[in-house]
Amino acid sequence: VIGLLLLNVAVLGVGASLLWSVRGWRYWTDLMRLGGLAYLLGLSALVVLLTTGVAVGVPFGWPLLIGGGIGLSLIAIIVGRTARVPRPTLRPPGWRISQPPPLVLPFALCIVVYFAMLFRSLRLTPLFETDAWWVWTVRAKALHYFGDLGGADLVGGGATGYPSYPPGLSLVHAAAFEAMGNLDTVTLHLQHWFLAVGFVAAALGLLAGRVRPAIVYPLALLLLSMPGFADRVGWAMADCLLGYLAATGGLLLYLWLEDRAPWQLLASTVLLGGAMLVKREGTIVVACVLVASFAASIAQRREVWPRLVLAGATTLALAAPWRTYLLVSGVRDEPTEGYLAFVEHGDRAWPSLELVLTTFLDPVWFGFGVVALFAIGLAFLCGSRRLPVFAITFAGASFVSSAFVIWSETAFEITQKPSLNPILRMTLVTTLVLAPLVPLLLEASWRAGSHVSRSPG
Amino acid sequence: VLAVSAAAVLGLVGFVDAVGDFGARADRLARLSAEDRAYGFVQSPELWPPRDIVDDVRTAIPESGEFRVEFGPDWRVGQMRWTNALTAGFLRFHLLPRRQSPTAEWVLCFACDESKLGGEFSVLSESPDGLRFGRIAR
Repeated sequence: VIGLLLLNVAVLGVGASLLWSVRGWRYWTDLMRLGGLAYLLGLSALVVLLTTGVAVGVPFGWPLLIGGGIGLSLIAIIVGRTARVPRPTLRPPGWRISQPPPLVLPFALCIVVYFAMLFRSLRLTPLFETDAWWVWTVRAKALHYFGDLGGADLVGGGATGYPSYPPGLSLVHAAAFEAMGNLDTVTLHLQHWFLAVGFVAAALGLLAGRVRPAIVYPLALLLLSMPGFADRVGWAMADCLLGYLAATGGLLLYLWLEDRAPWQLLASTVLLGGAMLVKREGTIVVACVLVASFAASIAQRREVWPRLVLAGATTLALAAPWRTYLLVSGVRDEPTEGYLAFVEHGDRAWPSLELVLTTFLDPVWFGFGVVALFAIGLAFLCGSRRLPVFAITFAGASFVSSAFVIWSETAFEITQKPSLNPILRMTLVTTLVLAPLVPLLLEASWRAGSHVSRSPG
Repeated sequence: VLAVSAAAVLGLVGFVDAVGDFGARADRLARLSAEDRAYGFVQSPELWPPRDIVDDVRTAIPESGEFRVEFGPDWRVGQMRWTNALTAGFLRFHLLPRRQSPTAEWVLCFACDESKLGGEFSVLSESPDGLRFGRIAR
């Protein structure tokens, strides 16, 4: 556990260096607010770096792990110094830890208790996840033993090889094995606890000051408590990590549309690049985020779109070494019956879309889907445009693309049964990406409502 | 206000359920031995070959060795759609760095036809339900 803690502190250090070089901060207390973002940024950058290393044949191990982390930090510090980013001081004059409003305190405490109980549960959880044996953790073991993804019998094919799955989570697991000093597949689940804490901290940090705590904390608790999330948060599988990176990258991209701070676009690009290296669906989710950004900025297209195109191209470039590795290895990455299977199976189109929509509104999300759609509609009614357009475009693109995946992959039966169709895990990613947008939507409506009620006449 | 209130109520109700589930799961898992947890035994026992056999396999096959997994047509027929593939995947994971090879002399035979293994099969360990582990003498 101490090894895992040190690994994650090191990841935070790498991310903090990167964030300082592109954003800077006047006070170290700012880093407390942005610590979660720094952690996910460091993780994503390391995933990109390690994937590139493995793809070009650099053996995985401590030298790559430590060298990569130190190298990224050094480059970030040199870039920051060259750009004359000011050194931070400890805290602003008169700073003190702010007391949360009394209404918020119970929700904040519930979140703390939630993570404490989750820690206890994950500390004892055996590796029962079949996908972990087939793909994610077996590759991590291969990285530990052989320094590569395991060769033909592990990534090159076979009925259970899933050779085209990106290696992001396997690299995280392999780093955890190195940090623990053994192949403890039970304690490994705690790595997913760190990822969840990092995501919640990142979202709360980015929303702090933009959304009142009375909106953020109840929604954060709802997200954590949804059975669809709570059941899967500790699984040694890649869906949650994909959701965390895509959600934080998507939120930053939206905030960039509002603020136009270059660091937001840079950090978002790295996060979305990492998301593409976590799961194959990462490419689709990132495309949905970008489509939402284009739609939300249509009024400023001359100024914004060229930079969005550049960001999208950079995101693709970050995943290019892995795609090249697959190409060179001759690994096919297409549906069971080929890319054009959907043409022959047109009868699956509507049932697939229906499955996606009903799953989004399923009780397993504890009403989150209804709250999200309500928040989007309310924001529209209150006069907001950019944010609800971003959210509804992402949701729509995500629904259509998820339906298309199910439609064209004939191996998936039209059912929510987890062993026969991944729709629950696909919807989990969509829900996670929408999650930090919902408080922003409600805050926009709240402000509009307050403005109207205070306006004379 | 309506949306936040609904989220707050649902969040608190869900929190109670989630924390209760985490606690119950932790209590249940705490009753397993460390060996059971390391072996991954938590659900779907049909996917896990008997641990004493797998322990014998780990002892017998050197880490640089290879093994193969053979299923007979009558092995747990109809129990679960992916039973054989999942079992083979579990063994591939659990026995690493030993690698699977279709020509390996070490064989885990799940009610398979031993006459088709390509040599004389010496059984080193077996379970009552038909799993036999052994080595092919060529």
